[in-house]
Amino acid sequence: MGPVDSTAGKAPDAEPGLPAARSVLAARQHELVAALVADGPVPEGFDPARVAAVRLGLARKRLGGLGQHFPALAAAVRSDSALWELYFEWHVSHPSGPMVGYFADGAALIDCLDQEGRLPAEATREALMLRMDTSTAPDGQRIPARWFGVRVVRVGENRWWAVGSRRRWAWVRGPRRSR
Amino acid sequence: MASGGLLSPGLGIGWRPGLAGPIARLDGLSFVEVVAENLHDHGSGIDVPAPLQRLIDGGLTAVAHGISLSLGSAAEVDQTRLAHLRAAGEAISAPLVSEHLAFVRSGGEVPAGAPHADLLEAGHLLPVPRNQDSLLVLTANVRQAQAGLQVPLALEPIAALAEWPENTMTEGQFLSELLDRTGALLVLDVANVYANAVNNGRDPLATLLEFPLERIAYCHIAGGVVLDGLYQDTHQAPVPAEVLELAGELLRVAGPLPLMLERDGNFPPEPVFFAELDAIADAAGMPRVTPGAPARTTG
Repeated sequence: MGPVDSTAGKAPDAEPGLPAARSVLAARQHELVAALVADGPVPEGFDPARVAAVRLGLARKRLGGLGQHFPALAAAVRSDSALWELYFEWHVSHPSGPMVGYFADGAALIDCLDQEGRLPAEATREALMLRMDTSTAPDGQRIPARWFGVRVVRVGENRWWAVGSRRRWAWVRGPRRSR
Repeated sequence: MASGGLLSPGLGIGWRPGLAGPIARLDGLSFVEVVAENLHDHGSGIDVPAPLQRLIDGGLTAVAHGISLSLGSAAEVDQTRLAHLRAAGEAISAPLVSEHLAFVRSGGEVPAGAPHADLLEAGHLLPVPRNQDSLLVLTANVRQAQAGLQVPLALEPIAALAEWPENTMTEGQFLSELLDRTGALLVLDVANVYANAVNNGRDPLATLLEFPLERIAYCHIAGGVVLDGLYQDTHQAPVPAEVLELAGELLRVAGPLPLMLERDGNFPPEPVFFAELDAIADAAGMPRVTPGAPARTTG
């Protein structure tokens, strides 16, 4: 617990009308955020064009953020309108949670595009390195891979084989078609 | 004059890992500001990056700037995030910390029985409605934050493209009322004032002069671009001439102030970056801080 609010001279929520104000604001804020980062409708009274502009800005910002970790992927999404549409669909159906960062966002986007067979060729190397270096934990988060011996990595329809450990490894085979 | 004199008037900069090299070569900076969320605790307290620590050890003042506390959320202040902001400030010996007059997530711990308790992150700073209900909530949240901090708190109004239909006050009125009620200080972002004014057909200087300038702790300035017909405060482009002019006007009216550049990405080559810093210093009538810069010209 935090210290008691001494400047107010009373408990933080003792102000009359405050609980009601919080409730009203909570509902409206949720409507706005849902319209911006999920599939919610434009909240009553807002200018739809402005909401669309913010929505687009947030999608661009998220792509820029995950592009810090996966620059080739982000560049490919920016330069291909069909891929941008797919990215936008992913963006609004996968809102960031409080614990999700841009790296996890990028990893999730790579998995999603790969599953749909739409991972751009320019991003193959980034997908490959992501899967060499990380494993998926039970909670779905990417964690550093701890491996020794042989590691098989798939991207799209191809399979690469590496031998060594996380710190030192060498490709032994690949890419080979796996399906 | 800057409120409380916590920072000295002059040019400052937002410290970013990607700018650590050029920043280390600057001479005569008034202060640096560090994003609190970029200072991590790996288990043994906050790790201050070595290049930043060297600046602090050399006597430069650093301020912690929070971006995710979400003081404008309907929910009460998240005590874990607040504790991090405080720890970040303490780790860099900040004389004050700052946060935004904004919300970044909806849901969270609203009063029992309230709907929409699931958390949704916006991924960016969003405006709060400027009305009495919102003032009530913000006042309570700012007081909670102040109670959890050891140093003064300064609040920064944001740039916002979408306006709430609930607005009943101007930015200046709302801000003055909130700062009066809480005693918080002001981080005045000149580029945000400019963006909100031009995107809503208002006069930037008139808007700026409505702000409680006597409460300014320090000022931000940043670059942006026009996208989709709207001025967007991206922090990734040079500061436009109109924003530089507005900063000049502010300093003429309010007197010398601490003023810092926020550059978050798309970092230019060092000579270009230094030229952009010089342009800000010149517009604000402040001494240049770049290597080999001539002595201050008065006027």
